[in-house]
Amino acid sequence: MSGKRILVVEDGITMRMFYQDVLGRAGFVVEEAANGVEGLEKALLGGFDLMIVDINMPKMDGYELVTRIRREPSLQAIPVVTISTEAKDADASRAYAVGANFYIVKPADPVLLVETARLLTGAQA
Amino acid sequence: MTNPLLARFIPEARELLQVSASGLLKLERNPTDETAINEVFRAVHTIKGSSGLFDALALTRLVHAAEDLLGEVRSDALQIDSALVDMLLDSLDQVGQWIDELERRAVLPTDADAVAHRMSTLLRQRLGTPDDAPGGEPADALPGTDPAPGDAAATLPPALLARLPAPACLDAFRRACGGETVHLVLYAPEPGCFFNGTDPLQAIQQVPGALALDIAADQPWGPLEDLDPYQCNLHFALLSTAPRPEIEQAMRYELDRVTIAPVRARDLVRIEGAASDGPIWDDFRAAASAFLDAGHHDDLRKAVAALRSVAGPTLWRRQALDWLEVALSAGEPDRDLVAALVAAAGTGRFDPAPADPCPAGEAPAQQPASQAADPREDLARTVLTSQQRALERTGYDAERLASVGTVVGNVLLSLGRDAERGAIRAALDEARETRSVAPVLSALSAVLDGAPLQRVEAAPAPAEALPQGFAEDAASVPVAGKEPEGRLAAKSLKVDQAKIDLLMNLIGELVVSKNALPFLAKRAEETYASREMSREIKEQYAVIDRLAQEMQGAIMQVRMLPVAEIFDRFPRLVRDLARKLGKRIDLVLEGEDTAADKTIIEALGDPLLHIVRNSLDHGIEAPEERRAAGKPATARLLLKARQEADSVVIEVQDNGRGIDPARIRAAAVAKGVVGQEEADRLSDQEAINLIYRPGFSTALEVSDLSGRGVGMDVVLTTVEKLGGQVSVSSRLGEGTTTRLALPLSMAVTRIMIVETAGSLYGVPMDMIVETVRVPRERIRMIKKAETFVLRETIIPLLRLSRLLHLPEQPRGEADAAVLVCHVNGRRVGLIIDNFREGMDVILKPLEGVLAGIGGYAGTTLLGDGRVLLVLDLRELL
Repeated sequence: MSGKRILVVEDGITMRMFYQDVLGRAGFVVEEAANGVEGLEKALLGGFDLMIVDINMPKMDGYELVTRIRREPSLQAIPVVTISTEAKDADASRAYAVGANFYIVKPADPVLLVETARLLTGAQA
Repeated sequence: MTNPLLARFIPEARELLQVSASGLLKLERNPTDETAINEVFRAVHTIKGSSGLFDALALTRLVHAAEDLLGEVRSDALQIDSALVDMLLDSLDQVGQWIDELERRAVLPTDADAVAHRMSTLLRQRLGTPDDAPGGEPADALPGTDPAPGDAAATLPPALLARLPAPACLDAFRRACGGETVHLVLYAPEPGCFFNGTDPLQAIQQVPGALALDIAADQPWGPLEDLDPYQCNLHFALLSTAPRPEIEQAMRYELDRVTIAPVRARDLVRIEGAASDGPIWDDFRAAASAFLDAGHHDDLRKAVAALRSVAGPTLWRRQALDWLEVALSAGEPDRDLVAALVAAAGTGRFDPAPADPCPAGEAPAQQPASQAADPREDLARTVLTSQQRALERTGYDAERLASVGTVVGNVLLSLGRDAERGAIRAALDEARETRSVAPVLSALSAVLDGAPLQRVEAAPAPAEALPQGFAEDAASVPVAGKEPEGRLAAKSLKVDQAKIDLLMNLIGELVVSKNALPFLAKRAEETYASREMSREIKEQYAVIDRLAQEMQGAIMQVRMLPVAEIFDRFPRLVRDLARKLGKRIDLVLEGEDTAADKTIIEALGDPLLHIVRNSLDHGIEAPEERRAAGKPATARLLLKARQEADSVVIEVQDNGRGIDPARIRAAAVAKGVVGQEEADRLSDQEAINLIYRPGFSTALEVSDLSGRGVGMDVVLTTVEKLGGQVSVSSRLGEGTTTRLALPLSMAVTRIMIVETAGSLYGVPMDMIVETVRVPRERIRMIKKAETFVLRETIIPLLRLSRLLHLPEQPRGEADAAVLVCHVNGRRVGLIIDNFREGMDVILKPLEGVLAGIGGYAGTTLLGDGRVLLVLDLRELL
């Protein structure tokens, strides 16, 4: 049990359940937000070791959310993984450009997801 | 359905499909509605994303096609029109059917792939040309453009690399010499893949970092007349600079048909050209070997450049020199490789595998993708490389450095390489001081170059590194048994209806069981003469009664659904029907938020559908007819819901031609529903009400819509079964309004207990108009039937005991107790022995062998434990 805390920002309820299950099972504490605005609010409460951010979301999309996170002094150092169904280089580049640390294509393979989360939070396997 | 993730997906998908469909209708009306297009796009996008978690590729593919189309609409590259809306709605309908199928059987039907293929092809046709392949090469190599049979046979693997374009090979070679890993991706699609909706070319084009793509026939093409164009006979080979996980990601749906392997630089060398001879070559070769042995790379470079400038470009050796130059351009050239190239320049033959530790014969690529060397190692490299690239791109940026620092530190921590963490931390400090990313970049390079990232002892086998219970596919990942600590409570829950129903039943039992307490109090007082005990029981009863009622209220709230649940399907329905009928209709919905019990809402769908169809079919005129009548060509249909006291009232109002009482009379007589005499006597309103009589089909001219053999009587029956009422009002030429009034909840039925022939029965309160005591002398016989007059109306009388085939009680001289009821649209008086109290009960339907017995609505328990039969007067009379 790593006890590392992950904030998942994703509008799809099924996807949220998926992250909750896969990451929770690997020992992470997973909290959820259903859109960018909620994600920013929760992130600002602090205490997260990693954020997993969906790109296409209502209210505030992933790019916007990451941009805003990086503008917050308290959130500049948090690792952020963006997730999108788009496998295009341009989408990944844009995510990196706004401040993401990694880009995963949806649907994420559970193993890849867990390993990425471990690496980015410094958790031991 | 055992997969909880799928159980969550199904309602989500249905909701999103609904959102998409209504958004599309909005778009059709107003193509520039940005909110609508965004809404639809996002809904479809989310379905696609979530569906990828399950074994439902056909569904994902179809939704993907729809999403691409919507993306074009959103970016104004494509104009939305009715045909497009039709196509998208059809696709969403198909997806809806598959969702139903997934719910029933957890897998898609066997024809799903073919259907998805067909429908997404249709959708994609509207997209015009698919996006062009990068570099144009793949397009040139498309199958069918040059199906020369002999050609294909001669260029099959293992000479695969030799077929890739030389410039691309040189490029890949340059990268490989420069330290990048170049992967060879071999992809052999299944021959029947076109029927699965797979587009192999598109799939392989998804692989990032492509340098070259080669497409060839897998088997010789054979004679043209035997060619089956529906069988995929292609083999794809691709060189990519992307890291393995990214390639696997891109090809994730086809991984079992793909092999990925790193390519050695030397394997990329490909030299063509005319052979030539001369002493100058021998001199070069001798000099080059000497420089190489001495490690004088710069001198060697100069020698190569000098010789290259004098060699004809088509010569074999000139090409060898080209490769040599590239090989030498790397900071630390691979000595063996350079030696081999020098030798090639001399001998005219390149031997790719001199003194190579890895046997050349196994020529990479045959290792299945799933047995990757070490995913953790690869992933760590990819993560670190991403940080490196991001830093290179942004340059010095304090914000960026902060998160990169965390990530790199964590990756090293996770891999157990504490030593390097110090170096990285120092590099970060230095970077901040000098405001330059260079120190971090070089520290990162040092980490990446130091062979294997993972310390051996800290690296458990990948399989063991996985959490217990991980299955191959996400779809079968079971839900975690225990919630992680500290998880925030969800704001809303999606609960299986069956669970609510169970809770509801339990509360019902509780309500009924508490009714035993007053009896207990009575017994305490009468049998045990304990007045005090009786009082205490009564006090406790009051408390439990209040709680039970609150619980009942609460659970009823949970069961409340907005009318929107049924209203929402009408925009689509009305649109489709109107198009079919050539009518123009503006549908207006009002009061969709009005809530009622789920049972009511669900049962309301069909009657409402019937009324709306009827209105479209008969009420609303064709545009020409409307214009001729001086009305706007577009008719208006209003669906309105509101709450009135304990009822939910739904009105369907159209401004069509209205109902003609004369035609109804004539039709009713013709169909034998009423006699001519009765028909003439009826008021216009009464004549209109005839449409609810069984046997009266409203279809004066039968159309394909209403020719379904059901009349409006079905509406009446259904609504009355729910304890509601239907009324219709109409003005000829102006329109018709149908009004349905239904109870808000069916959970609790209010009944009156009546006594007849010594037994107790329940009668639902909503059937009872009033209770009267009628003096014997006022009961009159009309044609052998008993009647009495209530406020100037003749009410027929029936004896309940006779209806129930119970022994008749001797008629006393006392007044008759009469229950005046409203049944099947008429008033009747039921003679009973006595009225008793009213009570709220939860009705249990008759089950098992009793289920077939007509005349009873169900049973309930009395406080003293007796079973009370509740009558269904509609069936009884």
